[in-house]
Amino acid sequence: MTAQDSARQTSSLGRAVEVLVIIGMVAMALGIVSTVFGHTGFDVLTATPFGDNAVMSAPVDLDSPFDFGDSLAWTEGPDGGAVVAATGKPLVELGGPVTAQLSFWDPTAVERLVWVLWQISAPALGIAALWLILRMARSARLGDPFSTANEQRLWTLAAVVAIGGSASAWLGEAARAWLVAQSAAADVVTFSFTLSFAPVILGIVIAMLASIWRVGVGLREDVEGMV
Amino acid sequence: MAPTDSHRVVCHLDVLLTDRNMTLTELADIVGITIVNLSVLKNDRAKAIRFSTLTAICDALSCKPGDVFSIDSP
Repeated sequence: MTAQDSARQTSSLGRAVEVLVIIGMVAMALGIVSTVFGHTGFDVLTATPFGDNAVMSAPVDLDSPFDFGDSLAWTEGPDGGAVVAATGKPLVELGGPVTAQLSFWDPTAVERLVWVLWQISAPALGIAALWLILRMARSARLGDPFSTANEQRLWTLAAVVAIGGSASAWLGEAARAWLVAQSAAADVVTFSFTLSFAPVILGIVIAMLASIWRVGVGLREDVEGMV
Repeated sequence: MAPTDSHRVVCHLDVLLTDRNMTLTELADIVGITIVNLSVLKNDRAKAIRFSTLTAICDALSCKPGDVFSIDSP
């Protein structure tokens, strides 16, 4: 393969990545529009890009397990072992925690606002991250990936993922907690915070990549002035 | 400690070429590197030189590395 072929292949691959990233950004932007202006947001759009996504809802844990009645009651099988009475199949048991979906059929304006902010925080961060990736992919396609600008973009991406991602997740949980707590179902359901450290870990990995990138930028600068 | 970007290395390619009645284009042809890169070297804008380039220049001009470069006093 000649250097020209290799450059052409890199260019095609870079363009394909750019197209995918742009498609992702557009999809996320449509999702935000749908959430903000759709039925569950401020109810401006009669039809959203992703359909009329029904009801504002939040996942919750059930205080008491669901009653399955006698459907899983056991009895003694032909060989003396326990089987499910209704089907004769080997014994099984259902346990908790049981997650349910709490739907708000007539949310107040404040509830809508909190829900919308919770729902759009992740895609908004996603668009910011994809924008940075798009700029890097573009510079790679143009043959200049090891630039100081790209190193800065990687540091920014690390911050967006680690700080923004964590803040989004934690504030989202706070929003969910508030929505559940002031709802009529507050006494029926339980709420457990689900905090993930995945954004922080991913951010650290990207930051490590940025510091490695810095070495690449230095090497590139050296090579640029070499004859 | 890593060296800084600033340096005091001066290239004497112009003097060597004048002494030998040779043009930069002719030297570029003999050495096999682009005239742009040779111009960068001649005008002291290069940050580094490959040993292979230096060898080729010295062969073409029948000189030693010390004839091509010197270091300015600080």
